[in-house]
Amino acid sequence: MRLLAHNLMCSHVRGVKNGYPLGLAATEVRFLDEVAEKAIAEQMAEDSDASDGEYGLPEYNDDVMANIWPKVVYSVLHQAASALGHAEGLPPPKVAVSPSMGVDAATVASSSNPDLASLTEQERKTIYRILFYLDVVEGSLTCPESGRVFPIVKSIPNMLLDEDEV
Amino acid sequence: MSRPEFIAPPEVFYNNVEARKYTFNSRMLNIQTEMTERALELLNLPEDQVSLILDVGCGSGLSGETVADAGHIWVGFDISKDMLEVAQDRDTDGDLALADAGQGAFYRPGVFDGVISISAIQWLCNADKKHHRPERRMQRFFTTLYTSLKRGARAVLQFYPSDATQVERLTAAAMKAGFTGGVVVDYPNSSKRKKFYMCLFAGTADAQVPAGLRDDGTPQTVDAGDITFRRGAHRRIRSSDRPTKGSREWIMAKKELYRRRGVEVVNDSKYSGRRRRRL
Ligand SMILES: C[S@@+](CC[C@H](N)C(=O)[O-])C[C@H]1O[C@@H](n2cnc3c(N)ncnc32)[C@H](O)[C@@H]1O
Repeated sequence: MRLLAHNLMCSHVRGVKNGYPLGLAATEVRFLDEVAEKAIAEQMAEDSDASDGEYGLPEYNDDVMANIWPKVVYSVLHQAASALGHAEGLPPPKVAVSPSMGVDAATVASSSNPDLASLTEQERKTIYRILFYLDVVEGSLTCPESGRVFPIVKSIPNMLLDEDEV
Repeated sequence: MSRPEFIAPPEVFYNNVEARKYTFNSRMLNIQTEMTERALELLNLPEDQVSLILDVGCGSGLSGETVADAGHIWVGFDISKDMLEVAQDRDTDGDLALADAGQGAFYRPGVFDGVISISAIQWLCNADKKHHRPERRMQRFFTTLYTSLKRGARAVLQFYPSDATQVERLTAAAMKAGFTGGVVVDYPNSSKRKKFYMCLFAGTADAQVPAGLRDDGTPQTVDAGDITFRRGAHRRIRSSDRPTKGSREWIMAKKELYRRRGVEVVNDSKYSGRRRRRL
């Protein structure tokens, strides 16, 4: 699960009003751009005809960032990256979210995000990398209101509810 | 036609073996790609913009890949762990979650620019577990879907109804959840090609349901106000732009698509697309 997905997801346990943001914990994370680079290097070693452009992930792109930025709650992204120990290089958020306190998903907004134009290109690239390439392989998501834990196994969060939670 | 939903619950039917068979079948890839392209056309997304799309019942990512090819970012969920694992092995671009549509979507309000679902929601009509109440599950699905869509955005859900009552039940649940819109039927006279798409609008009362396609691929009704067939939106998938079926160009395009998606195809040669000489 990448941090973009974490930023979008809410708890859907019955009766929960403030299911956002989900608490994030991890025992294993990876950067997908590093995984891809390694795979490319291996491919190139095996196959001398392969060209660099055939494999790999899309490059950073300001337009994609501008389109996705209004969907992101930056304070939550920053907090999630901190929880994983990867907040380095990220600009500070304008408002902080307390990790233990759920906020009403309908009222949190990206309106308190820093203006993209006010950030350096390096900062934008770092945010992009954290959003799209930082992947939680093993870990968990916790509903801030009910405390229900959703396990993340092999990068896939298990959001299935029990019969009495629907 | 055999109907998987009459055989077993989805998470049982799409086991490891079936998930792979499904994904690496080139006929399946063609059909899912074509339906997803049509669903994208019906979504009528703003041009020159990267949209955020939810794929319900994303499976092994065949539908999602078509969304990514169109330049959009997608996230998806599916109830079959094995389908999701195949998606992961194939390095799909979308972010995946294991979840049941009948338990509702789990995203912040208003985040999605569009929702698609390809060949999945007919399963909601069944009671696969003793405690399943299909009407409740449908209601929960559509209500939470409505919330997660941006106002004015659309959900286009292709499905295989087993009879007319399924169309009615799903439509009734969608309308109760606040959606407007209806069902688009393409190729209504061909039992094989006939396809149903629920085309739902979140928060636009006056939007008109787009016309279905006739057997020759032209819209059934063309009225001046029809917004769906505006030129230019998704030009590359219009039939007039496609190479003729069976031509060398067409074969090359198909082979390229398979290669990109990890299906093995024979190497190209000067004989590709030529008629074989009979002995
Ligand atoms: C025919 S496959 C289509 C997969 C993908 N959309 C594609 O186009 O290739 C149908 C998928 O719907 C999923 N499905 C069925 N019922 C579901 C439910 N209640 N919640 C989530 N996924 C479901 C199945 O697990 C299966 O992966």
